[in-house]
Amino acid sequence: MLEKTYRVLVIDDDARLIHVLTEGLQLFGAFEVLSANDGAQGLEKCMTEHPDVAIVDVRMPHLNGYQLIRALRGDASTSDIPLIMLSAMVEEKDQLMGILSGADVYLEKPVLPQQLVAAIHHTIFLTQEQRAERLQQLAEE
Amino acid sequence: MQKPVLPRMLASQTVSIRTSSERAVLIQLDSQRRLQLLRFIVPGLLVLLILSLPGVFVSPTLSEVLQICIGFVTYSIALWATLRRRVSTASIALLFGVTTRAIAVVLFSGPLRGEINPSTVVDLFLLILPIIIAGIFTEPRIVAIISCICVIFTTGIFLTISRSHSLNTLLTVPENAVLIILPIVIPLLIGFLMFVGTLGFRRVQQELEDARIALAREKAVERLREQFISNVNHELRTPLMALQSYLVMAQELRQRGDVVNEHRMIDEATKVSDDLGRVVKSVLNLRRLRTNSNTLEFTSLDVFEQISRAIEVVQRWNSDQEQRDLHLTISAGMHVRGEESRLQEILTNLISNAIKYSPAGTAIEIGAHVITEAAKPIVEFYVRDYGYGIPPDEGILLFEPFVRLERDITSSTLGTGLGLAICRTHVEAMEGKIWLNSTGIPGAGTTFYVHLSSV
Repeated sequence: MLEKTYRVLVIDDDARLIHVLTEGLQLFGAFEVLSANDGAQGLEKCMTEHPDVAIVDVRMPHLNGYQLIRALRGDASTSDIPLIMLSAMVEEKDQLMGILSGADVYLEKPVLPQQLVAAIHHTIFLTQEQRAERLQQLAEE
Repeated sequence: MQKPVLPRMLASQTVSIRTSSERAVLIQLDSQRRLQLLRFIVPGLLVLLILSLPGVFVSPTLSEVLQICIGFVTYSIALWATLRRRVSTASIALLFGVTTRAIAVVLFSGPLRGEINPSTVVDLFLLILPIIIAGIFTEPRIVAIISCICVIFTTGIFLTISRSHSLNTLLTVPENAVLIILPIVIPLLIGFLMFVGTLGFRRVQQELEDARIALAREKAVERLREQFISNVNHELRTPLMALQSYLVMAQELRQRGDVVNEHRMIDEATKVSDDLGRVVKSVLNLRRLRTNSNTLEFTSLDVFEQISRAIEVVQRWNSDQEQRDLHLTISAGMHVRGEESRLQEILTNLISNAIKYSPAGTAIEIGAHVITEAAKPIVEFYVRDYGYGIPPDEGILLFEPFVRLERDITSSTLGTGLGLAICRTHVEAMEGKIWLNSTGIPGAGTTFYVHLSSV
């Protein structure tokens, strides 16, 4: 159904997880998968490669997930990239922080590859206006 | 992320053993109380002294000038010490000042001229002041000393001028005998009351402190427990996700008829499931830390064999990663007295830590040799890595349960903070010692040492 091959950037410091996600996204979604090992590298790749969606882990050294997402949203060249946050931190405040930082979706580990693919399909078509509207709604809550 | 902080003893142990940092805090609390009082009293006394100056200037006598000087010197020292928060110095200076003042007043009112009059007797009651000051600001011992000094001084006064006629004049009225007895008895009484009072106060203070320490320790352990739970939660979810994903992918590949890749997924799944198993096991090992060691069966263990076996196990754990360079320096024929499963756990923990916490490509040295300590033969094991090192003041904390270095918590390295605590439990059960050496300089690494009795 999808004509174009979408490019997904996975940003996580756990090499094992990058491996799993790469295989899973390729198998279930036919995506082209790029990867970055930490926040700084992820930021760089977002700017140079401009992926169609980025999956961001929270716990990373140097630049953590929240900081990375805020940085991406703050920069005009990357602010429109759909961002999916993937985390083992499952308290309500973590989820809130993720959304408020600017993530479009906050997923709790463990996540199956199919769920991830569905989330990607969902966010990849999210436009700027819809995103701003959602943030406004959340701020009001 | 909070830095893990833990008092040296867990809350379950007796509170009367206090760490030096706890004692420091308690001393501070007691000093606060005295400091607050000093801040009132010392300036007050100085002001009084200054107010009495005009009177002295009008008709200066040697005695008064001397008293003013002593007063100024001692109260100024007390004030300086109070401002510098040196409570003990201030207390002693204050005590000294008040005591010398009181003694001077008494001496100059008559006894130095060899006579005793009613005003002398009244002045003798001034000696109660030092006793009270001692009671408020110092400890029971000093109260006792000051009281004795005052009583001896009073008795001395009376004895030295006992032959003077002024005393006899006084005693012609028998009721005046009271004037002799009271200045001796009353300070004694007040001294006794102050002594008992300070003793009782100390005991109450002690109990309050014990309660406070127990509460602080309980809170610290609770915080660590929470951090541990959150840590373990995090550590379990990632491997679980990998495991589930690989299995789901294996299923999908089977449906597509891709046998090769299906098997590859299952292999990966197996490796991850081993990791997961190990994390779960180390969590369950926590129970072993709580209960006392079960009865141990000591046997004679061949050191070389034990280390080799431990290395094999760790290499199997890390089979999916690049194998690290292990340098062994082990003499043959050494034996230790211990229990095999525990020794294996110690060795695998230390070796696995060295691999985990040092960069790939750096060497890891493992060795064992016999040394003599206190005339007994000991086998010293060491595991050295050339990683980032451990900051000197955090080394001892790592042997406590749940504790991990801040930089490791925020990294992706899997760890529960229990490995070294378990090692220490085992080492102590085998009556050995375990410690680490590190300068904290990245690249210089860390060396872990274990001593066990040689057989």
